[in-house]
Amino acid sequence: MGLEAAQQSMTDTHSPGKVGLAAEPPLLNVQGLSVRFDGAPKGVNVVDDVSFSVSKGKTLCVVGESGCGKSVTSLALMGLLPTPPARIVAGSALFDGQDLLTLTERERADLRGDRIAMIFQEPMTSLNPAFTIGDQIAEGIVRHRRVSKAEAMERALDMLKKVRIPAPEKRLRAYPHEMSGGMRQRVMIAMALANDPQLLVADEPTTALDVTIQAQILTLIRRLQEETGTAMILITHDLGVVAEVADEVAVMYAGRVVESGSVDAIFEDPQHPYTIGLMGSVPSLGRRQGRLATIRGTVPPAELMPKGCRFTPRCPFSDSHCANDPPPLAEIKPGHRARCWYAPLEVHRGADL
Amino acid sequence: MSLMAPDDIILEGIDLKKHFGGGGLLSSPTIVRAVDGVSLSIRRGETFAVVGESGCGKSTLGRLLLRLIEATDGDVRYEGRSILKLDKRELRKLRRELQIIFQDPYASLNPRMNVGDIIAEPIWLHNLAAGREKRERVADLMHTVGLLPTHADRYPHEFSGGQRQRIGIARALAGDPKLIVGDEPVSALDVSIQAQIINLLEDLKDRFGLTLVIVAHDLAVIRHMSDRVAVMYLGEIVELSDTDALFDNPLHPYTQALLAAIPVPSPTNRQPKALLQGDVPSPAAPPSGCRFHTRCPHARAVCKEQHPALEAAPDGRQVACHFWREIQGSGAGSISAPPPSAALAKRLALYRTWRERQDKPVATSP
Repeated sequence: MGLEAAQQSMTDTHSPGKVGLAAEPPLLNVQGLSVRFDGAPKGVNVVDDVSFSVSKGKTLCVVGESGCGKSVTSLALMGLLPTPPARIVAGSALFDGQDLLTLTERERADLRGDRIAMIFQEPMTSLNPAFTIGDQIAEGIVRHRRVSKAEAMERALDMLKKVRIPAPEKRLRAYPHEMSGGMRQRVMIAMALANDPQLLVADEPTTALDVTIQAQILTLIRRLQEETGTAMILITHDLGVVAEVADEVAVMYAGRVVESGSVDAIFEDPQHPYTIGLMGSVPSLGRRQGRLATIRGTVPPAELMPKGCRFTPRCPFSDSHCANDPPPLAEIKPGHRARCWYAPLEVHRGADL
Repeated sequence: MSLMAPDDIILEGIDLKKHFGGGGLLSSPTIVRAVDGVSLSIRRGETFAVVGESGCGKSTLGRLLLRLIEATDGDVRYEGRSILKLDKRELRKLRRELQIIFQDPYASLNPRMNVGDIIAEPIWLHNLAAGREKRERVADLMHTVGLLPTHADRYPHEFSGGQRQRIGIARALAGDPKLIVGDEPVSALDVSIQAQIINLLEDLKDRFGLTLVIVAHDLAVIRHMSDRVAVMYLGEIVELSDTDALFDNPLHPYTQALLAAIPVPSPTNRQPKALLQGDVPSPAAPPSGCRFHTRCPHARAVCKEQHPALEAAPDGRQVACHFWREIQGSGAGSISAPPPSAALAKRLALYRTWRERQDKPVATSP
């Protein structure tokens, strides 16, 4: 397989001699990111004070339900948020020493699809139906590399092999509608990885797929990540997927990170009532253990968002303190943070049982 | 789980077939065998699940069982009587007893009708009540499914996804049904809302003595809710079994692969999985012999040629595989979901206690 060699030479072009082994700074460090939509009530940011970081070769999973701001966060990082109505009102996102949020549109375009790439949920809507798979993969290569169209097509073919698409030569000339959902998602991955990005942002990459295909894609992503050392931000609502692929986890609720930590810490020792309620809401794969725990109600609309902790109206443990004062994302154990006044719950909420 | 007599059959499908296309001048010449020879019996009071990947024919089967689409061949019997020969009037009467809840609650509600009218429609259609009595019934139904009766004059777009699904459920309940088919009733919903709707469906089933047929692809939801499961692949049932037996010891290699593919929500025992390769073949050109042989890790020469019949296995199970006896215990299959960690179990118990307290002061449903 000649593709390793080809890929090697391409990697070398944009990361010369950066092989520091000792505690290197994270590849991406997001601090205090806040995004506001025009017309939203005062003080209610759709993404509010979100901080996280990803290191080389690691996977951060951002978990949350619809409307929690996980996709807006990723679009903000990619510079894909439409302004107006969305405005980044605070924060920084240091990517390899460069603040992504202050780049010019031109600089961003140079970065996108090259050093940072993105995979979307629905491959059919993110592929152009009028161009062949090969053309679409090659387009991104030609945009960022000084190569001819023929060389780019060669590289596209290598990528299709790499994501294990059967009969890749034939598929190169196929159109998106001729492929199944799983195959299209492989094409998206091939396209995203074509320029050996340092960071891959995957927004619900397997949600639209069947469970056996989902397992194939997750295995593929993980294996490619091991081969290339790409860092990944994976956005999902599926706790099973998180448990399978994450190194670090950030749980988001209504625009804020409510809990963050290593995947083991989150699953073994969840602290925030929302995380706990979410885990109780997922049916177990083992024998039935009674009724599901539920989280009351739904996410409040922006105009009814409480001043303090945004989970207050749904939280069984909340009181007026929670409603009025936003809790900080406090460290519970090294590397494990939770945004709750009463964590750990058994200490503050277990006594009067 | 509910008690039921194994031979008290409420709804029965006999060698059901539904083929699309192939017909007239304008339709496509390829025939899609969406459902191809499915027989099953649904017991009164049980929750019966039909599971499979997209294109396996599970939704088509659900609609065939209610005669929402006409079968190409085979028979459907409700309370022992064929429903395929009923005329329009008789069928309408039957609709009262057999109801359906759809996946996308927004697409299945008329945006120009307010919620009260949507729920009241089956009531006037079947002449169950009128005037004040009807309004009271609507309010009652809304209360039952956890909606505020004062919202009866609002329109579907004013509700969230979970609330819309509650509207769909209230409408399904309006005619006092005996059996409800849920076609992916929770798969479009967020996890926390999904749990609310699952609990609601279970409550309603107990309260009204319903029989539920759940068509779904989420195996965790199915394990949680159902008494028996039919696994479908390319228009056929490949395994039919009690839920616990199926999950503890799947017999068919497809069931084994399906269970192995589920991401387990515990990071402690990540392990490489034996994965199914390739995609589901097109139901327009299903493989010869056993339809699963193109993806089956255990396939042999005979699988390509001979179509395996759904045969009886111990404990009233059924499986369609030539080699299920030999495959058994080959390691694949039964998923081991580790119990939640001590810390999670403790906090979850605490959560449940406070959660109950949260519900008590106001007597509305979650």
